[in-house]
Amino acid sequence: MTNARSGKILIQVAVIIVVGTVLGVADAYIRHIDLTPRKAPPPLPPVTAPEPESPTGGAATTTESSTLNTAPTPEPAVTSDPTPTAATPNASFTPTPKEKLPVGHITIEEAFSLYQRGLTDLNTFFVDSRKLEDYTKGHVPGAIRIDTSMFQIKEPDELGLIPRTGYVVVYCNGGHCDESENVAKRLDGSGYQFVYVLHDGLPGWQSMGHPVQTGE
Amino acid sequence: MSNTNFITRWSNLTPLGVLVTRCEVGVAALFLFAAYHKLWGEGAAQNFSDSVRAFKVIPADFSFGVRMATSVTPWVEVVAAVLLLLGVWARAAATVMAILLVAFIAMITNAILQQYDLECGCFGDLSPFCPKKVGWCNVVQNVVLLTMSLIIALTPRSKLARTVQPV
Repeated sequence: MTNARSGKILIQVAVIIVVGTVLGVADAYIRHIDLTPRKAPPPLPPVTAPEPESPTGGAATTTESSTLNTAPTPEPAVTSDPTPTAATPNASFTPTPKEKLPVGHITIEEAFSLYQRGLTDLNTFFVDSRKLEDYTKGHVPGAIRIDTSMFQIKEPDELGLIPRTGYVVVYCNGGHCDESENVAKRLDGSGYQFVYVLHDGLPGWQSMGHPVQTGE
Repeated sequence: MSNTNFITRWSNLTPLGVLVTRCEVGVAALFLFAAYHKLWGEGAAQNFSDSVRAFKVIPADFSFGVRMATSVTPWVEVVAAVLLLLGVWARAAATVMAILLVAFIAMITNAILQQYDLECGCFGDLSPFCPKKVGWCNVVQNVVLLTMSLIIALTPRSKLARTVQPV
């Protein structure tokens, strides 16, 4: 009796899974989900010798600074702690070598080179794709916070601050987080051509002693 | 089932029956809520597919697998939840939910141990009970739901209502 009942329940379980699967497969063919891998962005511009950092750890190439500040020497975005400070280098950290990076990802040094280049050409933008609580604890000076949830209904207003021709470096918390890749993909879809993912993320950036800024 | 029998069923519940019924309504409502936020809403399916990929259980280049997991999981949740709410095949529906929850717990635990930095995606873009970042809170949440599902799945229907004596 018990066995018969168990068998009956197992058949019902199978039916439920089959019905759900059929509906899911139908849904998969009706609804479009973009799962194609990102196309490789154009090569990075030639690396120029980095300028010496300012005593405060370097000014930021920021959306705020580049769009709201037309002065040739931009200041970092004003936040609760507007002064970027150089992070303490972590000697045990090993950056991911370039040959091991996925398509569209860049090393910390390449990102830092873009960061420094942006100090003069005002055309490099850092996008922090982490949550606000992480962002306030520390971010690349002047980075704009944009995550995938902000793309749900329309493009986030923050995109209005980044010209389509600008160099965009997206980061999150490093190799085990996908959010930067997801945001980069949405930026690709929004018409940005020069979007790169900082593979080692903010932890790598900090470990190399590059400047960070706290607050919103 | 006649209307009288339906009312009789609800008015003659044993304490175990009350517990099971509450579990049924609670789990079914949560599964429907979860499925709704994975299936409908602007960008919901895309965000859920991002979540599925982020757990790295399915190889990232196996897009067919990601696509199927993204679409099939919420629909199985919908079917099981609706049956549970209707009281049809309730034990089987709860068993399906238990299977899903065991899989979710295993995936979340793996993500925590591997120190993946990701969002659960359990309720689409929402996270009503836990912080957005996946963590042990999500495991506890799913263990509670698993317990409720097992209570439903393992309780014979005959123990839910008192025997109605013929007048």
